[in-house]
Amino acid sequence: MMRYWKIISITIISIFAIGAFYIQSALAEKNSFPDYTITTKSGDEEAVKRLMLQGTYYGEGEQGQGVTIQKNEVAYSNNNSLLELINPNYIDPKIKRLQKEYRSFMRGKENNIAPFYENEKLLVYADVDLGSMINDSDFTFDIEVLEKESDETEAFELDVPEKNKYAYIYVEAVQMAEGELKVITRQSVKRLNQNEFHVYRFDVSTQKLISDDLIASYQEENDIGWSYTDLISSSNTSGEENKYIAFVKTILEDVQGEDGEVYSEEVAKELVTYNLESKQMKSTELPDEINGESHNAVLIGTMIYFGQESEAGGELIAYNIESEEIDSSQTIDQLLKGENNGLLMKVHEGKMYVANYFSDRKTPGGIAIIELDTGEKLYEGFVNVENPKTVPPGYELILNEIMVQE
Amino acid sequence: MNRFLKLVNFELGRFMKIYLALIGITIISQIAGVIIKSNSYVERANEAIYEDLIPKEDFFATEGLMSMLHVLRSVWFMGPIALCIAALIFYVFFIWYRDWFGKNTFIYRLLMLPTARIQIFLSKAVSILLMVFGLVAIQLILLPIESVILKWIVPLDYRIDMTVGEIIQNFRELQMLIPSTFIEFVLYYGAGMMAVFIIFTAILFERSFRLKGILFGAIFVGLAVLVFFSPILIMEIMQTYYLYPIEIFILEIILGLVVIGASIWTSHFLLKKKITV
Amino acid sequence: MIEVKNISKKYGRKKVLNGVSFTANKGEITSLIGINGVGKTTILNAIMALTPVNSGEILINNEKINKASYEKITFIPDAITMLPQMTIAEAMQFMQDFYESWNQERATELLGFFKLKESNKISSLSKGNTAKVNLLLGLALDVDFLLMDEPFSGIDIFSREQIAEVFTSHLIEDRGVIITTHEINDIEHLIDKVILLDEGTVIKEFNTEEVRENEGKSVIDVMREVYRT
Repeated sequence: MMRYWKIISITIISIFAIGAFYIQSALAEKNSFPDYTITTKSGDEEAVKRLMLQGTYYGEGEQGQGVTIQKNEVAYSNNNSLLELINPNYIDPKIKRLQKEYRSFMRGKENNIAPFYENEKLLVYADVDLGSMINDSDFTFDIEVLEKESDETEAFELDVPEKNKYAYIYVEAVQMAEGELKVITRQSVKRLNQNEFHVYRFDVSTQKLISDDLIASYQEENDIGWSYTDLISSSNTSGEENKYIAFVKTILEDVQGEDGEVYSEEVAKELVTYNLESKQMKSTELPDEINGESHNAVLIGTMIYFGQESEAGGELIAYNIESEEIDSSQTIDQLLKGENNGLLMKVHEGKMYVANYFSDRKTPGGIAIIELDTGEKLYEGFVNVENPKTVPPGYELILNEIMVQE
Repeated sequence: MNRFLKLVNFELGRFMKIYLALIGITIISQIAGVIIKSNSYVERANEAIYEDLIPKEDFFATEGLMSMLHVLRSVWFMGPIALCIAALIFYVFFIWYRDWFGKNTFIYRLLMLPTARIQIFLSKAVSILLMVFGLVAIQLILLPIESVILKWIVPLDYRIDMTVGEIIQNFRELQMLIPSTFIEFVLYYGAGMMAVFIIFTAILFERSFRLKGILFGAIFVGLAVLVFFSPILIMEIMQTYYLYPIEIFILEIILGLVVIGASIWTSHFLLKKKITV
Repeated sequence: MIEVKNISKKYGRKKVLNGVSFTANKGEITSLIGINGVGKTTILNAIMALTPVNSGEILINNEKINKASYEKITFIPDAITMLPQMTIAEAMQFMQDFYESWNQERATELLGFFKLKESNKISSLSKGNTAKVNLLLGLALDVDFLLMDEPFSGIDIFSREQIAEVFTSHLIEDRGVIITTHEINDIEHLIDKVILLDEGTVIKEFNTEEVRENEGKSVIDVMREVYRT
């Protein structure tokens, strides 16, 4: 047997060392990263049950680890892991739920909720296909309507009118009511520094395009300066159709500096609303209280909720489109505001979720949940490391997304 | 012991001197790295704190605490690993060509063994796999030893202690060699074996048809890569992502096995019918 | 019986073998003779399935060659088939490990006969001794057929004599031997059958004893006749 020491010793050492390593890592705690918990300061714990905070944890001198923090669970992702690719953490919870419930309908559809519309009876998908590698402006509408009860899908494709005019087309929102499908898009015109918002209306039963309305151009230049327009995302939890589309238009003017250089200065923010029923467009100046950061704003019915940072920490301002007035403002002052400690906001099902981007040993991260209708603070709490002694002193947590499980 | 295992043992023996030298270099270099890095850190820390009177906190804030990660990033640690990888990649080719070249035409003996010739192919592949596993195992044994040496040299409040798992998790290069779950370990090294099989088959094409065989071998490699990545390629070209990630994953495993099967079958055919001494 | 049936082989455009057929029987020494060496070695390689042929068929005891055949037939090429870093003992151990037909007694006997030292490394051996080890490794197998490629080329006269002695000994007796050579002198008297090759074809096949008795000619006489014309 001694003659076979080579094969025997290599085999034994390999099985022993590799086996021991994997048995140990399977038995050991999932990993060595800190246990983050959500601790309640006030309010109903029920409110954070479905909250998922996604971010990156940095131990001292270590590379960042993706982390998902929930009320009773912390999951560290491994960027280099193959298994992470198979079941990614970053998929929107709504997409995850739809994939689970309507697996074959959701097949081949990307991780983007914008082209989906769902109510009790229907699940609608309307996206613009970006064309193939050969013809990059062969834009077509790809429309699929799933009737949930019968599990029947109606699908059709239609060319985008004047498709060769555009360099790209993104679907921003989809709505459907009484057999009429509305697709709101943002697109850029080729070779022109011009971008447009359109509303395309379709009759689903006849599979025809009814109309194509240009509702806004979102970057315009004139003699004295330029402006850009951002869409405010809308949330339709009840499944009801939104009556309005709203934009924030930022107007900038060219100013001659002292050193002779020309730079742009923001002079005004306008709220542009488009009434989908009457096809009327209206522009109003936003009140001074609203800074008009469109990425933390949401349109629900006739109300626009602006989440913004303020002296006290953060605030939520409700603006009524029809009355053109601020309805209420709710200050989220309890959340700590430190250096480079901005707020992350998310509206989901009539509630606004707010959290600090940043937390470390000295600055705990705060969480708040506010009922949009009433402005009532439903919940306040903190994201904490359970046992800070076990964590390297220079650790940091940087959140980048709030998600709510469905 | 059956003939196949004897063949594997024999193949291992033929590379054993270089292999043991590689292990020796790895052990010496990595342990030297730990000692040198640890000593230099302690020296710098003491100089800063006791001579330049920099507060401890400030020193640690700028320099960070000492840990195995400092050692891992040095050439003392990664150098020998890179050397071992290069040596084994070289050996994937050399394990065949050494039998043809030189005065002693050992390939005559191998082909005249009263065993199925595919066993020669498989024994060479298994030898490579075992040598890779052996090196991985040595690294897994070395890491805790190196951690202990670091603890001897660096005082407690100057360092962060890490388990082997933590060290690997925090170092991407090492994580590619030693993934965190056993399933991934099997998948990574399975894919590695697939690559070895494909290269072996290409070598046998060259050995069977010589100049023309280089072309055949290249075509075989191209086909194997194409088949293996076909689901991903098709989806990228069509720009439709029809399959869910889990389905692609399962499909890839199946295709991997198909490619390995095709490689073994082709090699079996070449060794039996086309090989020439 | 080894039957070579109409085999042809090309290297690129060059035809090396062109319809070669012959048989070699057990208990006989068959010699493949030709002036230019190319075709002869190729035939032996082809018999052992060490190189493919383009057409034709080779049968060993009525069977195509398979893995079990290598216990019945062996080939001693003109270079040693063991690794230079091995000792003679290790080479013998290797053979014993892999061949059921390995006859350790006979191997020991041959070691004595050739006056070889087991502990010597193959790389340290003289040309003659290397050839002897090579021969030993083949002869110690209990096989029906032995193929030898130029066993006498490039070695000293004493080694040649010693090797030639093997052919008359019990070591060869019942076996069938195919031997290629271009120096016929050493073994002329031992050969039973001669196959003369030229430019990839068999140009004459004859039984040495018959030619000697009926025509009173030696092998060399026949060769002269054939190749001079």
